[in-house]
Amino acid sequence: MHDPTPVVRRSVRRVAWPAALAMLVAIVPTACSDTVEVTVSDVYIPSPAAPDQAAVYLTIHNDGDVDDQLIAVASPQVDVAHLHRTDISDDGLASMASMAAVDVPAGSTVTMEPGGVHIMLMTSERLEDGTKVEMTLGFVQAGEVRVTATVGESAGGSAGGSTGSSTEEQP
Amino acid sequence: MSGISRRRLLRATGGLTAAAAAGWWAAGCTDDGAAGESDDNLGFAGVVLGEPLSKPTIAFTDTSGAPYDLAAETAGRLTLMLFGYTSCPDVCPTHLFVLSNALDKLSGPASKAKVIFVGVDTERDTPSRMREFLDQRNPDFVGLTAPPADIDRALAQLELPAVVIEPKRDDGSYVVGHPSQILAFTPDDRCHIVYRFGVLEQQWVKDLPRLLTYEWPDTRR
Repeated sequence: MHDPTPVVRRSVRRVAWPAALAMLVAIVPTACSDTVEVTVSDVYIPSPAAPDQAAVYLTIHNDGDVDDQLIAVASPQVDVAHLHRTDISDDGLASMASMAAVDVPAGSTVTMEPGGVHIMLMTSERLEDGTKVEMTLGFVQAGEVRVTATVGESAGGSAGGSTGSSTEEQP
Repeated sequence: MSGISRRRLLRATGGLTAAAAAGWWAAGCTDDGAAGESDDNLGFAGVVLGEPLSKPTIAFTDTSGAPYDLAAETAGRLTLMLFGYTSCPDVCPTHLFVLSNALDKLSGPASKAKVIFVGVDTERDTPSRMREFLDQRNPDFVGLTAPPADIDRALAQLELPAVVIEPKRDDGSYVVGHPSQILAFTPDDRCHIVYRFGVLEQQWVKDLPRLLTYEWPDTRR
């Protein structure tokens, strides 16, 4: 469960500047080596319950030395894709909010999983199990990262998220 | 920038795990395993209540449109009750997925636990949509609804937070704040234990048979 088979692993390694400018910067001794390296793994779309929407969960690895942000998701197969965050308050109220961006600091791994950040897909027809959904994730630094997920496949094997241990609070 | 920090992002899930692990570890340091001190929840994955709850007394309607007498239909049965909405992409489908998988793994009486989903988004949670939503997980899951004021009354009876219907967005969609807990009513028709979001399938598999037979101490009644 800790090392699920990645559904998609796509690496983007590039210099963030156009080549000519990068060469110019390279000869300036104080220039930073700003390696951009963002990979996305463990993309999964649980079998949706609603006829017109689904959630996407995935893991973003920023192995570069530049902070990045996921700011957009698009797919030709859905009407709308929103970045969402579920917040669960101390009294158990679950609420959702749209997010303009998901921060992916340099050196970090950001895991989207049930009960937290996710991508909500709104569709005009049910996404049936087995459907392959192609998505383009838009990062500020890494640019576009394309991923594909098959509806109904669970990369993590635990749709319940990772909080499993016994509850630690008394109401 | 309105982006959230990674720490906050992980709070709802990973943070809970870390806190639970830290609590367990700390308990282990000061307590060499004596019962009571280290496990307030009697080995269950839910939170054991100091005072048990009774079933809500409002008039429900099921997905066929017929009145549903909760007390009569669930009398003496292990019943798991949750409140959500059919346009929920995250918490509700996950809860139902985990419960459905857990019931599939069980055999005997525990596999017959009744799952009751109350749709709180009365505008969109029509009986047919709710039936379709639940059928994707398990056709035996019961879908109920009631007028908004009645649902809030039921939630108050269960000491759960009230529903929050957020304003509509430009595309007409809207999100709904709803309690994320699952209440377990045991065969004594009381709820002694509440499960917060994030309980794993294997924990349900372990807990459900115990919930059927557990003798609740008088001190907790």
